[in-house]
Amino acid sequence: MMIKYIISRIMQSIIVLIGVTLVTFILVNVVPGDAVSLMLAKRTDQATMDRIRHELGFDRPYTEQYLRFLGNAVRGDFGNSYFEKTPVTEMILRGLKYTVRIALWALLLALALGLGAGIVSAYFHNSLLDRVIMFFSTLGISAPVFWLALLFQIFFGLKLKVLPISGVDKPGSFILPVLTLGITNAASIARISRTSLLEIISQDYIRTAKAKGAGELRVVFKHVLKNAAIPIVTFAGLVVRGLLGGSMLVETVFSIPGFGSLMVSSILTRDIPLMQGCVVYGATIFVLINLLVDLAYSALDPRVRLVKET
Amino acid sequence: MRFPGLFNKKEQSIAELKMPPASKGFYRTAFKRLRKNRAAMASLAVITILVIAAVFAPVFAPYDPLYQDLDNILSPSSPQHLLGTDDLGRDILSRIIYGARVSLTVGLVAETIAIFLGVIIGTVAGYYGGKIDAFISRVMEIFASFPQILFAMGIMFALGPGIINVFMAIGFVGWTGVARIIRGQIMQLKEMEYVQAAKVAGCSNFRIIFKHMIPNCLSTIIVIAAMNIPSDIMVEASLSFIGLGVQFPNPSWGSMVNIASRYIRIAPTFSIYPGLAIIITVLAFNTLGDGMRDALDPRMKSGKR
Repeated sequence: MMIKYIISRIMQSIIVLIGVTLVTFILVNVVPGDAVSLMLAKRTDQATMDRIRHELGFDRPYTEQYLRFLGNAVRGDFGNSYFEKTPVTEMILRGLKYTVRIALWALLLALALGLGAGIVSAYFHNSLLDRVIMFFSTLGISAPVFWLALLFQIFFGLKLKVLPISGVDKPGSFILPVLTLGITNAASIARISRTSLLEIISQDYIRTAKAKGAGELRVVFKHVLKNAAIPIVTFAGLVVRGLLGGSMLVETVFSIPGFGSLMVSSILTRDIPLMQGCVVYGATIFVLINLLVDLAYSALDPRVRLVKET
Repeated sequence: MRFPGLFNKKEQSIAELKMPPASKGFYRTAFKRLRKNRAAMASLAVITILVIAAVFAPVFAPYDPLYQDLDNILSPSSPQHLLGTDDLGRDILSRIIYGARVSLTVGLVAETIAIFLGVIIGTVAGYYGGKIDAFISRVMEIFASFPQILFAMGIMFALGPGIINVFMAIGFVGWTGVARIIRGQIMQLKEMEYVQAAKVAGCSNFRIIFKHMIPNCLSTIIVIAAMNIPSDIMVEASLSFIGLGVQFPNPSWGSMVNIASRYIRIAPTFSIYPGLAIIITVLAFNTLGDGMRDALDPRMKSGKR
């Protein structure tokens, strides 16, 4: 049954990914003005445009163009960037090195901080401490991540002069980006983990454990947190989602040549192969993480498999 | 193993009895509950002030948001310019007041688009089920597999910058979340006895959907809108910060922070005020949204996108 579930889930992911390439293709092609006229923006005569169109295969039928795009995408080939003239995949892998490094540290920070705050908040719920934590986490999810990044730059970089405010080559240059991404994501984790912990606490088996005289700490660690494993996996998935989006903004502010800033610059400079590559790679990472989260669920909680199959 | 229909009938009629009737009384009690929530009421006050400031921006703003006071460029707070001026000598306070128009309209218009698409598509999927539902669910999954901002950026890439396109991008990104929740709710409602009764009585599908089902989803729709508006405002600010949203020289809080980020060495306060405007607005909407969720639908968990 487990294997059947895994296979069906993988098939689903493949369908979703094919859909992603289709949406990406439509975004670039079906909107008014094709890639060539966008790229050259009427800076050249019709004959040249037609010639380039022919060279790039833009005069072929859409279905043929799409199938070729899909075939190349499966092999990880998105062509060369218009501006850097290097293969898109190479650029993206180079960028991902930085992004993944920052994201992993931010994930750790967000989980530690967010879960910690969520547990304390749920444990002392409706107390002053709980209200303070919840106020700050609501503040955290309301603060624009790019603005927080700027505040950190101003405070740690310019006022205290303790950390570099941009680039990747100086010691400690990853600290501020990690801090920014970690804190904003911790805020949403704290809110969700509090809600789900409170729900677990109200379950019958917790009351039973308390009634049979188990110590408070034992109840928290043995019964509550064990059952909170599923929400925790969800948070990890959520954070990764948030990190991927947040990295675009944070990398822009801190001038980090990562995946996020590649994506932003590909759109601003209308570098179509790079844009397509970024969207498809980004969505692939995203789908893979969702797949892992779902498989982790079904391993942790047999109910998930049963519900999804019926 | 479940035997559909064997136990359901009885459980449902009990469930129906317990459910608050979705009449005027239901919304009145919900509003009473909301009024007791002090944080939510304070947020409502803040939002009201913001709306008034945005609507009557020319009255409240001390300067034209485009007027350039070239003698005072990047000046700090002064009696002339309460929050200082930007790189072109424009009054920051005036631009923040005018910027509220952008953020609030985005919240309203983009969310209306998302709700409109989401409710219709979600209802169709939930009501008709079968192959239509399978297809729509797969499409929703595809859209949901893009991080929201990445997808919005892709649409902005295709449409080009501009405020109308921001509305469309954010609305078009947001519908899947709405559709997913509405689909689930319609599937539940479909099993209700009064819907079955309407069917037996010969009501058309159209009439059942619009007369019986969507009104019953109204409280959910209100909660979804309240929870999503702040994230829409944030996406607009982020798009404008990157340079893909509202275009120069129109004031938007996100693009103001973007311009300010170039001058953090000489005018650090310039970046702080528009960011504060975003945080206050989003915080107010988030708190009000939490309050409305608690008041209208205590069972619904924080289903934030």
